[in-house]
Amino acid sequence: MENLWITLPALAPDYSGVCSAMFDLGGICVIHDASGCTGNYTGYDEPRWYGSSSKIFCSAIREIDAVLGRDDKLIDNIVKAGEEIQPTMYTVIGSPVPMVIGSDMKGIAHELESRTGLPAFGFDTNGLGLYNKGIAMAMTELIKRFTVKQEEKIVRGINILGSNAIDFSANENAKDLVKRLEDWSFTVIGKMMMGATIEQIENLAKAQVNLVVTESGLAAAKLLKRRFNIPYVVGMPFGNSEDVREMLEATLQDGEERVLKDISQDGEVLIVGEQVLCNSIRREILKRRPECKVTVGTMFGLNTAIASEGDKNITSEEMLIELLDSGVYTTVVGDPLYEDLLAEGSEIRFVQIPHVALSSKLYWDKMPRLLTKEMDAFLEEIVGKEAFHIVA
Amino acid sequence: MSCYLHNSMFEDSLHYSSPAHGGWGVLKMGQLVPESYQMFVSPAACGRHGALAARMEGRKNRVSYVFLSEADIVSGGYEDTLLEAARKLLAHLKSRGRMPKVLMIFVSCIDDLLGTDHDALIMQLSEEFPDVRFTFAHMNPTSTDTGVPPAVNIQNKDYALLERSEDCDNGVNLIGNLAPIRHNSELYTILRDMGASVVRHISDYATFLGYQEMAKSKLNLVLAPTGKYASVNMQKKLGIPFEMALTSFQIDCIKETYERIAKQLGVDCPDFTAYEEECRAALKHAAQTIGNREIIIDGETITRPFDLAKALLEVGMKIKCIYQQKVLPSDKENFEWVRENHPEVMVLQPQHPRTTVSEKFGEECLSIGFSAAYISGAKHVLDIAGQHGLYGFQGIIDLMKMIEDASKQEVELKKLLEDTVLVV
Repeated sequence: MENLWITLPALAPDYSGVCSAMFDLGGICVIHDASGCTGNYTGYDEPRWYGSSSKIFCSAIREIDAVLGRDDKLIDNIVKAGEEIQPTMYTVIGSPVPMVIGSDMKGIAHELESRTGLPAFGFDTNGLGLYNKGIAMAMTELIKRFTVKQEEKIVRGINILGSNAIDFSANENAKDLVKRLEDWSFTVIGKMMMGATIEQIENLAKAQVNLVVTESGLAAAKLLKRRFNIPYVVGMPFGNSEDVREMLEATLQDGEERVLKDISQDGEVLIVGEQVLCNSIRREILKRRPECKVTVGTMFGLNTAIASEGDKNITSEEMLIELLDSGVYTTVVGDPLYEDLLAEGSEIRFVQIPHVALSSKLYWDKMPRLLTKEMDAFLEEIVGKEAFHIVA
Repeated sequence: MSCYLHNSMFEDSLHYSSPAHGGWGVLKMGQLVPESYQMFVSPAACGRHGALAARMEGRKNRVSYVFLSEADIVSGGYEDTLLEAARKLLAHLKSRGRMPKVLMIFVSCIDDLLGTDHDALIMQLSEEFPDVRFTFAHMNPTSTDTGVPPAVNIQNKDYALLERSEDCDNGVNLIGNLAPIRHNSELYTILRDMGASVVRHISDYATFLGYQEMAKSKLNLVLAPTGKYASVNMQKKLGIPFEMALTSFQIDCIKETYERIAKQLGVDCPDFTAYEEECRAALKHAAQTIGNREIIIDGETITRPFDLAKALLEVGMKIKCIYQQKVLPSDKENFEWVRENHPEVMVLQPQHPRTTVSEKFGEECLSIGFSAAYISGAKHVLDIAGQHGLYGFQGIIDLMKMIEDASKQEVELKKLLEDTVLVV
């Protein structure tokens, strides 16, 4: 039964993705819920929440509001909060209750915009979708609203698309990525979304190339390609790997889209997690052990546009258990909570890489810095000490 | 009074959720029932925080989730999905020798809007699994401002699983307090002196059969307001009368509570002079020890913060601020007293959006509670989540000791919160 999850917790939901994307923009975000959805985000999906100045609130909807459809009360409370906080913009974000009562989140945003004169966004999230879709929704709406056509490009200008704290956690990963791109002589224009500003979003079209570092950034990349003809590369640099650099250089030359991916081959290693990061891990394994059979799988909706033949779209806990019990894999790489699914006495070797979207605060301080030597130990654990130093 | 109150009313606003906001959550409250298993039936997102909190505290092996699809919800009901999931789940648990005695089926806010027929489902499941008790429970914070908010409802559900007993004894049940009262509390001694053969709390039991012993008791003491509704219903169903015995930090209130309990039990009230003197000494000593250090009280930790404020103010301690989202009816008299006699005490709503742009004013203060500490910036923090089993005269004495200790040292709040599991 696909929708019975006996062991794993639910995955980070769509509304958390929207909030995560909006985190740095100085706006007021309101999750239209009673309390628990906001608690999910602030307590379990946002590793940056402690000490932050981000203005993300709960609408505190009550039964009577739902029954009477009191959008006016919600709007009044948001406007009142705005008068004291002076935000840059407003975002209203749906949850299961507004879905059931048919709240028009975009309509509410429209009303807010006309009352305050500030940009306002409405998202019909409902807690059924996943965080990466929420991030993608937020990014594309921001681009549609703010990004303007530019007469001139910045030479080697680049946008990072899809950096987010649910995939990267709150360590230095986002900053390390900017630094790496600068070391490769790129000028980072947009840091979408960790470190983003509205000004950056306005200037995204100045870039010559986009780098999509998680699946959540792909929709934005396609939009920027369509609107401003900016080509993109999909891949996250790991450790000292130069693969992504080579792809970026090639794309700068020929304007072609490139995706860092390899064919999945069943037989040895199963990597489960965020699709782009898994693709990058697979590449690093194959560079060291070309004969290794590696399969990538994701529980966050396999995006076929960046998937390889054989990649697994794991739609349920039940399906993941079947894969783990299949006898096909000897090593599994993924969030520590997946280990709970291994059968008693299983001989599968498990290599942990935390993912906030699953295990939240249980392990978010253990997320490695992906561009540093911390990845060496991780890769060495997967491929073995001898193979680790063999880099194709 | 400098406060966020508008015309003496607490303001309706958006809610801010600080990193220190939260408590047990209804899932954990449901898990107080021994040998119970929880099955959440909701949109996936609704169960995430409860599941993670359960994992953090080693309780995840007692809860599973049925994630509803859009089709389930749009069709206006999900009875078939729920039945199929319950069968699969119970088969799974049976195959592992973990068949529960109770399956608590949790539904979320949207269920109130969809109108699922719970009785019919329980009837069907009970027929199929005669050895398992089924009950529906609600994680529906949309009901927070109704007469039966989630924390009240879940306790009622817990105690509704008790069946009337023919064998009554002189036991006394403690209802409403989630954590057990500390064993050093005089409550146990006094109740025994008043003839109670045993003092029972839900957390005492490892088996569902053992839990049924609570139905034998002759009196329920309601120690927290959220337990009153359950006690009213226990009186109707089980014939157990109840007495309100809310946690208080005021000596006179504690004495008055014990006097009412004695009357209810039909015995003479013992002499409290020794307890009272020890309490007054502890209060005085704490007041002297902390000197001019101002105190901030957190309504998320202390159920009736104005009750505590009055107790502290009366012995000369200084209260800088009380954080409370809304005054409980049982604390209203204390609130009015504080407002009238100590207008210098700020009363702030911790969830008001203004909190996020207010200056941190309390660095040198001592905060009783995490959320207030986070918002105010207090460096001295009592390391307690919830009232931590404090009760009666000994509760005052223990709290004073904790206040003295906290006053002497600064803490790293972030570290404290990392070790604390909070659910909104």
